[in-house]
Amino acid sequence: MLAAIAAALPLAGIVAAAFSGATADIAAADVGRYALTSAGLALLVGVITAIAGTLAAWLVVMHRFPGRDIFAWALALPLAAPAFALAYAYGDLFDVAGGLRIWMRGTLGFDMPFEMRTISGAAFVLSCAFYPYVYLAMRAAFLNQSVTALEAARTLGCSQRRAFLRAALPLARPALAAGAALAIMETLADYGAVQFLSVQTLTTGVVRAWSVYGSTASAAQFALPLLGAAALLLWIERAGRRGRGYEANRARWRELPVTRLTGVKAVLAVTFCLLLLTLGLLLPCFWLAWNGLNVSPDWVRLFDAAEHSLILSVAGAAITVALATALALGAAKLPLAARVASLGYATPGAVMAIGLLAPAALIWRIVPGATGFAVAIGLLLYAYAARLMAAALEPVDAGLAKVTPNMIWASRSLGRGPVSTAWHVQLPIARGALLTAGLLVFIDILKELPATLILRPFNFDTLAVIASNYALDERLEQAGWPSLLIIALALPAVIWLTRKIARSRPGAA
Amino acid sequence: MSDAPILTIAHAGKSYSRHVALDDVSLALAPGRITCLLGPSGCGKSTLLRLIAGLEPADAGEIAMAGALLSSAAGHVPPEQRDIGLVFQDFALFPHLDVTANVGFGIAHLARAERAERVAALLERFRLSHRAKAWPHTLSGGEQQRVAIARALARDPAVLLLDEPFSGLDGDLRAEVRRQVLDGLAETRAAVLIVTHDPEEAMLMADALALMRDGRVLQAGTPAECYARPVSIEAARLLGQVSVVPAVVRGGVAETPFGSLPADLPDGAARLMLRPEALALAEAGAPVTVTAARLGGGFSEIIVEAEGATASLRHAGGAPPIGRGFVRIDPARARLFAGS
Repeated sequence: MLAAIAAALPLAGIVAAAFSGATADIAAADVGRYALTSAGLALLVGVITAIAGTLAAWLVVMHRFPGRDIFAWALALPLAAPAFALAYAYGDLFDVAGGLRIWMRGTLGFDMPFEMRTISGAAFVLSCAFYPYVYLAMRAAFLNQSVTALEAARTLGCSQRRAFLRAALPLARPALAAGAALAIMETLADYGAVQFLSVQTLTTGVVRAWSVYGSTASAAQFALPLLGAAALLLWIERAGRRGRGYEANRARWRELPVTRLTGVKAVLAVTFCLLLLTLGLLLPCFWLAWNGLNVSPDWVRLFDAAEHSLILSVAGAAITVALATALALGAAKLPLAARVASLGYATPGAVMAIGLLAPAALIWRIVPGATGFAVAIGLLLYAYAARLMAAALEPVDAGLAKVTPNMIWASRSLGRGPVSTAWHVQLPIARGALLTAGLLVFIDILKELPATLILRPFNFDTLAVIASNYALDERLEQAGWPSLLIIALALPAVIWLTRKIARSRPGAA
Repeated sequence: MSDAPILTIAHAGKSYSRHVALDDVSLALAPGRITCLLGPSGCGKSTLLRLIAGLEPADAGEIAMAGALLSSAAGHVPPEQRDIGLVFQDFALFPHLDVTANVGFGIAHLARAERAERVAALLERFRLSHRAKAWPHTLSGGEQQRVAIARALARDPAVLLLDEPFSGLDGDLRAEVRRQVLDGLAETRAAVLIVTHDPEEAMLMADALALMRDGRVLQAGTPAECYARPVSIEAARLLGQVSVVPAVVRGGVAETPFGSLPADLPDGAARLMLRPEALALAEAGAPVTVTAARLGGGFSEIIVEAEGATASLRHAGGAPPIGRGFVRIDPARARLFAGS
């Protein structure tokens, strides 16, 4: 119950702040303009990630071609890269005045009809960063699809390809909606990438209203439509998940009919997968590293920030998983609590942070002797936990579901109380799931920017914060180093997770 | 063997929304005795087990152990504070612990050496010593069953409850595990309550039997009593096949289509309940038509008909020809009930 209240508090803070009056420094027209930009961006990213993610999942699940087993998990690796890192790389690489474009114009005689600092440029960057959400959802859906439905379609006169289009794809529609909804949620929540590409979205509005005008109230006004959109997306995502039920309850698992690709088709398949991986991770990493080599990084500052990032990520992961576990253990009695907590997941970090500022002022006043530093760190961890609770809750729930009610009762009848039962039976059995949840949260906190930016104590920098600061100062070579460090820290966790996901599905390897 | 009950259930009741699962159930369990709770699925026997174990509170009535109230209107003792062992139908072994740790789970408060000794003794008793370090998922069904029982017995509970303990096993294995479990239980002083829907199993294992149907206990007594002297036709049916034929009582004699027999009932309509062994083919007696005869191994199952009533009987030896014949009733194995 406490965990649910904890998650709901910032949301209440937003609504309260938005209607607190003293605003007027930002015109309502601005809110409308930013909202339109956000909507357009969300639509573009939604469509691109849906197509790219679905195509990749379809290739990997239903076909056999060189490198397929590696692509199966490697295609999810861009999850390790924060969107702003991609924005720095592509913003520089594809800049109209950048080396590549000058060379193209001079040597090749044509230019890319492409401008990075536009909505379409931002959409490209965010799609590269977020397509794995669709890919993972669709991959799971295709792997779980009913072979019988496919075979029925075949006996009714459909070719393999038509059977896929007419039976498999419609059956996977809920998963597509869920995956795209996640990608769009992340798009709406993104601050670092769009900020760098000078695209004014509601989230940049939230941060700007707060940092430039110092107005919590107007920041909250930008946040309100985001909150509405978040609730809607969350509903879509949940509805999509409910729909997965009928795919999963097939009688028994059988090998999917896999097509072996040869010749040109195999080359095309490999090229496409490689292209996604390159655009999502390899090329930006290479470009940031290449540029970074031109400057000597400020190692002291970098290691300081890396230490802060790690401490925050580990502490945030531990707290979030602990709260999620408490929530999951108590959820049977309080189904509403879990629902409320999951709203936090769709809430952009910037919105969460603004929502916390009002209660924060209270804490400052109530708790005597609370130092600014401790309170700020506490609030920051709180914001992480509130935002990522649902992300942690899902694997934790699944892990605890492995403990049957009878196992719990057996422990009780063997003299263990509820707490001892949770500690000695439920948690050990859900161990793997707890680790998964912790890593998910760890990766997300490592990449988090806007909430950290707003709530962090003075002079307390994380890798994401110094990357953003370097980028703001147009010192892109320097910004590459912290970005790369984030990827380096997140990559092992992402690899572990994606390989685990790949193993957990029969027929994946 | 003392007969003073250790656990008493008095007028227990339990409802789920509109469905009455238990209605005014009373039962007593004595130490060192095996009581079998027999009834069709959905009759409330598992609910009764859950109430005794404390997994759910009772809506009405009282459950007391050794004079102390466990469940009553006044309160509910949680399962971990009841001295009651419980063995689940699905065994509910902890998948993250090996056999030794599973059996020792409930006695963590003992010193390490004492715990090890007790676990080893239990494994020995249930012939599991060679599986001490095995993981639950590598065990056979019978082994899992015995681990579950050993685990419940490790705390030396005053009462041991077993929910459909052999339903997950089939055929020969079932009989063998049953024998091993009975041997293992023989050394305990716990009052044992076994829930089952298999009448043969119940009669083979039980010192005392309780017959349940629709949330009520129809009859409680020794297996022999319950079998030979059922209180109602309903209760009789729970212990095996019966034929019911109409009868008319006049002056202490019941006339039935299959012959007459002495009756301890007032004059009027009655029903005669016949176990298959209560009726025998004979050279002379009541005339019947044999309408079907099937060989069932060492016996034949025969359907006879007379005056529109049918009954089945077991005949040792080969199947007789279809057609006319005679039967005789064994009055000691037949029961008359008043009413029609």
